[in-house]
Amino acid sequence: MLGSALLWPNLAAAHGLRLSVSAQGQAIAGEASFADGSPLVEAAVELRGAATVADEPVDNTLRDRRLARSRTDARGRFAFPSPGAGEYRIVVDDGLGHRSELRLTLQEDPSGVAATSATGAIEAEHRHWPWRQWLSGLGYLLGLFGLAAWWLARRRNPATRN
Amino acid sequence: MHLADGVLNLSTLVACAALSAGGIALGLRRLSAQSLPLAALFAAVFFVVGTVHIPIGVGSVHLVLNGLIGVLLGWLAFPVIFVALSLQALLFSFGGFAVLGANTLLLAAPAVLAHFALRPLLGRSTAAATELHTVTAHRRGLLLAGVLAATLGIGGAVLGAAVMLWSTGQDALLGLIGLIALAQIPVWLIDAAVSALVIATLGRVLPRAFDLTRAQSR
Repeated sequence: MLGSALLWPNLAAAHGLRLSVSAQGQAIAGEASFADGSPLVEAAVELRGAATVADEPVDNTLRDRRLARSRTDARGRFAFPSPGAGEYRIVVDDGLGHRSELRLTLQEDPSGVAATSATGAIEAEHRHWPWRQWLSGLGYLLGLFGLAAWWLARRRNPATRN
Repeated sequence: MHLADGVLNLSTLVACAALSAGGIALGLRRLSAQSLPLAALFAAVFFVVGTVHIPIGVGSVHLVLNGLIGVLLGWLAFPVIFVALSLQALLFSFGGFAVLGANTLLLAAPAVLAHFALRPLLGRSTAAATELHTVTAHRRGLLLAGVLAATLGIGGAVLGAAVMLWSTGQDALLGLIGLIALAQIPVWLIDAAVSALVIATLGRVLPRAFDLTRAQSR
């Protein structure tokens, strides 16, 4: 038997949450953490059918049904027995306002099933000093400040209107 | 603190967005040439500090400073926080656009509350306080105002988040409040220290900053 070597880690992020999932052999395993790397502990994890399937007509009841439920452990990790080939969503929610989800496609493989693709908002690697985002944000703010100052000046001094 | 997309149900989202829009409109009507620079400055501060994670112990903490912004800017806190949160959602995917109204309300409503609750503590600066004990009392009042600003700001946000999650049907209200509050204790501590420092310093070097929004509350 080939070892369960097929591994496809993927990242999804919403709200500074990172969710990574890989399928190997007979299980789907994953890990959820905050953007700074600390684990998302004791959060509910659900394996659901994919809500939208583009091509083929699919039985509606299968689309968004919850297939399995679990919780993350102290290190933010979770696992499900593999549901077989198909399209799925993994939803992590700690009940305190942190939530993230990931789409997952599983395909048959000699060693079981393997994830062939997983999509979500792919997060750029979290940096402690994200200069580029700061600079663009401050740029936007400067622009807004200018616009507001112009508008106020115009309103205060009607003589300059034309 | 932010709530993520997909956590709240539609009716909660719509109600929060409507309330936030009202707050933003009230704030914009009070925007003046005098208060605009301070508003822009604090929008920039809020935008940046929310994305800097300071590791403390097992977790990490970032400043929120919504109470401080409220004390200094009053209703202007709504547009300021809305703009900064929009940019955080756009550039850092914090929160998300569907919950922008809820997150704005969550942070700006306690800020406005702090403004009206703490104004009496700042007001004494106008009296020509030459006597030493008056000066120290005033300085102490300013430090206290900073600590209370953080307490109202973070505490109000915790309550708001718990109520919003509860209205969506998550869990029991009291349990949610306890859990969220526990996570925010370090945030509150660091916010209180910074707010106290900023308000005390402004009181010494630029007491006029407290008067910028005074006209707006009439």
